[in-house]
Amino acid sequence: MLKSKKKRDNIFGYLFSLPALFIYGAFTIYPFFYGIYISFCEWSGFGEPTFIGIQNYLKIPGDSAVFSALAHNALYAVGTVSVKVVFGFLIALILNKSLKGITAFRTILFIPVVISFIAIGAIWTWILNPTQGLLNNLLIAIGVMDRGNVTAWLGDERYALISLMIVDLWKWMGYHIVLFLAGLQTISPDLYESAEIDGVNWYQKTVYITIPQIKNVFYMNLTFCLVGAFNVFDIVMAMTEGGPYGATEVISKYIYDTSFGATNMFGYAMSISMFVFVLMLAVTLIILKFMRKAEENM
Amino acid sequence: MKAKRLIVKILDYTVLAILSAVIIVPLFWLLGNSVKSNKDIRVNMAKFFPSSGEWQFENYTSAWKRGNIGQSVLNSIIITAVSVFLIIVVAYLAAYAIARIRYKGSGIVLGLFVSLMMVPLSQVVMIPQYRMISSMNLVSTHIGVVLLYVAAGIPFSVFLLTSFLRTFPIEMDEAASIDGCNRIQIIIKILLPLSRPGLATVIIFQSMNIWNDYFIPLIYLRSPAMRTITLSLKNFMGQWGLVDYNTLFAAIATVTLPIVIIYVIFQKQFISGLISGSVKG
Repeated sequence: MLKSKKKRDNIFGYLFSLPALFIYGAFTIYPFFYGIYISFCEWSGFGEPTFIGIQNYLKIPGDSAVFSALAHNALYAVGTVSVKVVFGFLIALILNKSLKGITAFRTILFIPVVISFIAIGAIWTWILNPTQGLLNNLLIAIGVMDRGNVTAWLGDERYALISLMIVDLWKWMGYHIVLFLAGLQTISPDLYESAEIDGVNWYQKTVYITIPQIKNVFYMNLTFCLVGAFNVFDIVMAMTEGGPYGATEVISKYIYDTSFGATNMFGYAMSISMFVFVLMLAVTLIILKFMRKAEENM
Repeated sequence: MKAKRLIVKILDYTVLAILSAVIIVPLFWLLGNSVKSNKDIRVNMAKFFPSSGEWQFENYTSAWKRGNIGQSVLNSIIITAVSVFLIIVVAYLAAYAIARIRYKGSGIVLGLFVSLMMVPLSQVVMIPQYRMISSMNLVSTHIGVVLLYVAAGIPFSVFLLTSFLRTFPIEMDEAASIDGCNRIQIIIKILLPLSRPGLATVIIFQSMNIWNDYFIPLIYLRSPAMRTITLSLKNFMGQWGLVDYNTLFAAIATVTLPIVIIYVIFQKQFISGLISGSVKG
């Protein structure tokens, strides 16, 4: 009697899980393996892919566009990750205090996270407009910039990538602040109380109590920022489309151009995707390993 | 000591005020420009209000009509609503089975979903997904796009709903079953009403992702009648945005404002969705 109920339960369990497993399996897991196959093929996007062995992968080392795009991603990563992690943490420390009106500030800082990157890109394209934009007019008003010699933030190869990074920070800073804040709120207040009795200062408290307590949150933020920096696409499409003179050409844009966007070399694009995927996976695993190690030491 | 504390407090508020201004000012500027006349905006774009005090709200109606913004809003609403509904149905059933039936192997199923959430798969499956969708003749249809969104939304939703459903004592189900409720009745009458906060988080988090997505519509929905809001806005920038600045600003505001308002109302769910999407177990 009991055994047959257990059996029936199992059947119900499988039945209820099946739709989720099927859809996810069919449209994410299967495509992943199929993608590995396509990366060994020549395929124009129509008809059947033709198997050509490792030729696509052999082409990557000689394609300077891949590496110059990845270099832009790496620059983007260094700039955004450092600011997001360091300042995200410091601002979260402020927001974790019981100041009056703190929830209003938290609400405001999070607003850009919910707006689409395309809309944000559209707004910022005009903020950064050399003659009419908000930024340059502000800089002129406070006397830092000369009206006759304005900076074209997005039109100048020297500033285009850094401009995109600033817009990225505008959008995502609030997210990282909130992640840190959630971490800070898990720290038991007792820890600080006993430290205060011992008379430690703010710096010691932060370095010896707070940071070790939320090490994992640091690693998590780091992973998100890194993966995000190597996946960046929307903002580039919305603001510069890779220009000027390829100064903001990033890897996902290059993959897009190689496949859907222009040249229709889907097999080659797929092999670059796989290459970047493995790169990202390696980075994530290394960070994960550090995280485990940090846990053991605690 | 007291003076030092006051200085720290002033510094804290200064930092927060500057940061808030950096966020708010561009949004106000967007609103101001969205109601200027086209003549005005060409000279006074950097100003926050229409100069002669003439507020031109017609910009919004012309933005709505031009560049298919109105149609795109509708498309985005349909795609988002259908995808989120399907995600909820499929994920809730799976989460119920994992958390409440606890069938043999349910731990493995959950483990599969959670571990795959960690892997940045979305980019690498784009091309093979396209091959699949095109061989099913679903390119340029909303169905194809919905399928991809549902697949992408499942792992996180199953994970979140499972951990939510686990918080209620299992004896509740047993008592209801002794009272003569069958499984479906238990789900509908007891568990679903209790799951409201968890469902709200999933709905809001997924809606935001789908509403804001640009990549999938870019690949699949090229024809103007099918476009979603992000795609149309991008198109609008290149087409009308080069001439009618004021209409462009109204179009941007049309896309931006609703989501900001919804966020301010439901901020708890937005934030908890984003945090739980990252703090996995």
